[in-house]
Amino acid sequence: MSIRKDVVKKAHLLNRILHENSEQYFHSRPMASSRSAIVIPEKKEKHLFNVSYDIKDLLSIAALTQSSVLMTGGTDTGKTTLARLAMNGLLGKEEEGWHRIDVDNDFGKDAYTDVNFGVIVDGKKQSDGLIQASPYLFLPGLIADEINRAHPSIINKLLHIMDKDISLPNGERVKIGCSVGGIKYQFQIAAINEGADYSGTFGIDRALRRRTIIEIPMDIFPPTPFDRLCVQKYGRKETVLKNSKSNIEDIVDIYKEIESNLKLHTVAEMFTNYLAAFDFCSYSLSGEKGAVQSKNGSVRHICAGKPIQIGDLPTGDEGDGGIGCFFLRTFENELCPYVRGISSGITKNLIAVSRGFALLRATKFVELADGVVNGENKKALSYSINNPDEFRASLKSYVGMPVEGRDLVNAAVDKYITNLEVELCDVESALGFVGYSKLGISDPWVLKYYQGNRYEAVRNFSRVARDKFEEGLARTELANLEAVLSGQGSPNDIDNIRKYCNKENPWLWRVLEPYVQNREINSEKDSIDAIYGS
Amino acid sequence: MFETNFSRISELFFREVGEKYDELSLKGMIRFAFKKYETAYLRAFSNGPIKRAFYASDDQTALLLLDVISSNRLPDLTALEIKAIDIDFSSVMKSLRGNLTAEFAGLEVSDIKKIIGEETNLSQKDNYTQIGLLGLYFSPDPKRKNVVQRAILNTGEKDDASLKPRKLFLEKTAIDDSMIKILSEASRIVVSNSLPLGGNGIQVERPQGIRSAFRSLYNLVHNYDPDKSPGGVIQELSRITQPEQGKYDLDYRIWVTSKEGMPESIIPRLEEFFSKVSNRFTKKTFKGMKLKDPAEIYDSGEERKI
Repeated sequence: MSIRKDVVKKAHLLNRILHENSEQYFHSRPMASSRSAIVIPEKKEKHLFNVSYDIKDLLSIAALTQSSVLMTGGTDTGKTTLARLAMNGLLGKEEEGWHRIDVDNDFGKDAYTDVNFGVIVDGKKQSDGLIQASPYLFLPGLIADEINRAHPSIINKLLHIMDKDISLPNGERVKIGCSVGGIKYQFQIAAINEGADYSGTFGIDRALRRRTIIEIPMDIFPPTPFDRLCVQKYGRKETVLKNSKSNIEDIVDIYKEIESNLKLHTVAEMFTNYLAAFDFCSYSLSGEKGAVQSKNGSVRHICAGKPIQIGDLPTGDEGDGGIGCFFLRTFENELCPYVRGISSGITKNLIAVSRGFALLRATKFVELADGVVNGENKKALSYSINNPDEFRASLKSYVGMPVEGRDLVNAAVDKYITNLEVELCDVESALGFVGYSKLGISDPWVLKYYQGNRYEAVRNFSRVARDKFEEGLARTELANLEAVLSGQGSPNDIDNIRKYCNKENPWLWRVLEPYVQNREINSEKDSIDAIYGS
Repeated sequence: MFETNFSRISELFFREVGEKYDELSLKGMIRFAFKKYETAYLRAFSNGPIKRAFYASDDQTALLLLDVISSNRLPDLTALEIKAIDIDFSSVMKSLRGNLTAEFAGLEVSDIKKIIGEETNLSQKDNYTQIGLLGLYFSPDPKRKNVVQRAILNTGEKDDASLKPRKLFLEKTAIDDSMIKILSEASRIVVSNSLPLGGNGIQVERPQGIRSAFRSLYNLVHNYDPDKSPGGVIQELSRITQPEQGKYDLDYRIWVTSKEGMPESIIPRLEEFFSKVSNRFTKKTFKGMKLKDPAEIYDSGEERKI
């Protein structure tokens, strides 16, 4: 099943609307960029092109994947302005399509409940709805501003709102969000001033942070000099919310379509599992970093010396006689003990957001295909290619038809959308924002090697993980991997793979093992059928 | 239970078009080996052990082997070896320098005319003839008359005496087309070449490029003298065999006997040889590089596959 073409078109239009509506907000710094490709299997070739995403793309992705956003950073970075413009562009008028709540010390149950006196007038029981959730909770958009200006005890209330599941003072549970197309939808954006410079704020509760899916650290992506000049020349004092039309039905249509029909490419699926495999620890008694008491967010203290051995259990350490754990020397800056694997929850969110990146990548490919025909090899914050002539030739091979001009664009777009999948590059783009604070990375380590910039630390983790992942798949020991994973490899093949992984790439074995087990489970089932008769 | 199409994994290593994959250059491969070496060994050991970086082409027709050591706590290259089967004979021969010895099996004097279109003036006294710089030695064979036994080419002994050894080593091409035609009949060709480092040989330049800026700084601080000879010799040995008619295999090795590693000026020479097989290496080759103890690679038999 492939994604519908009209859904990509809708996403393209919505993203354009968001951009146009928020043109008062000047921010042209790329937030993420990736190398994608059109794949021509017959020639065993892929033609690369670059794609980049701006902050408004990121908000489109968040809305289309129903991923809540946490914008962090100093004052005057325009967090609230951008949030309002994005909400207005996508969902129309304030209080009709979205609501903004200011979270402060007065935020409590009164802020999200209403008393319906009509119940008393009608002579009904109180349980029949005297206390009800405030209507704004059922709008498709919600901005929670300055959420760390409230005392941490109050934050608990907000926690449930971000969970989209609250209990009213009378004990009634309410699912919040707007009911459209058979689902509940609410796009949430939270903003905080974070850092020691902000008096009167509180550190954001970790649980609340985990409720948000995409984090945008605004301080790491400051406006460019061009943006500053634009602000100087065209900036307005008041934010003008121009749009009055809600696009909620299109948004929900897109959300449902990509959730059900946008699949992961095999390599992306395996890479996501590879990121999760980083919880492996050769010296941990359980084999997991999670079971080791961490110090300053790392398990580095157990990497030196010899691993503890209980009974005759093998430790799995097959280093080459070095000091301490061999895997400590696998990555630069001794990465292994300082980084945890992504949890199941993050994996789920990562895939959801990666779907959004894949969808927007398709819209950028449409712009690219159109641009190539017109000789444009670059469009700011969208795409770039090195050689339009060469790319045009590759496009022809890609569509497999001798067509030119507009026909070539149409054929290429059709094929690209039909074959659209979440690729490794989408996972990489998403990880920096989904894993920003949720990926277990030691803060002192980030400070030491990345000047305290978590975004770069996460990105670098993704890069080195990808390198090691690709190294594993390229090794001659894995030459028969496809056969092995399809259940046609010999025990010797599996043994070779396992040996390599045990010695040099244990993370990869954690990716491959479930597929091998799957094969074993299936074959076990077959044999039971053979015994009992099917 | 899981529906996963594993054949899609191969797409990861499809040939990439549209952007130059710089890593697949020789310098890129050396850099990659150095980086791995630094990460794995130089952070843990004050003096890194010798390791061999092993790049094998996907179709197992070519190997690139790099010997890496640590020098002043930085990686350095001490040897490079290229093994390849079914090479372009003419192209490789034009890159060879040094003392050449070729062995033949069954090439008769009368065949030489067919090959190069010229009569050969055989000296009956010592069964010797010269074609260009190539000296051909015959042995009388009762059945097949005069059979070429071996050919010797010693470049630069006469004509090039005025040239500096450096020029001979790096720039002189002594083998012309007629010699190539004759040598293409050889069953085995060995070419050896050597050059002292420093003096009239290769000057050891201040490191740039593939070595780090720190190294340059270190040398500057310690009054590095680029003309000072570090001692040692660069040696080059090429073996070409013809396992079957018209198919040639190459085993090229260059190494340095000093503890300093190879000078940067040798890089163009290495690239010249690497270009003979570079199209066989892919992103998969690059990513799948192994950096191991030389004995470990040898014991596993991987080096001998080609």
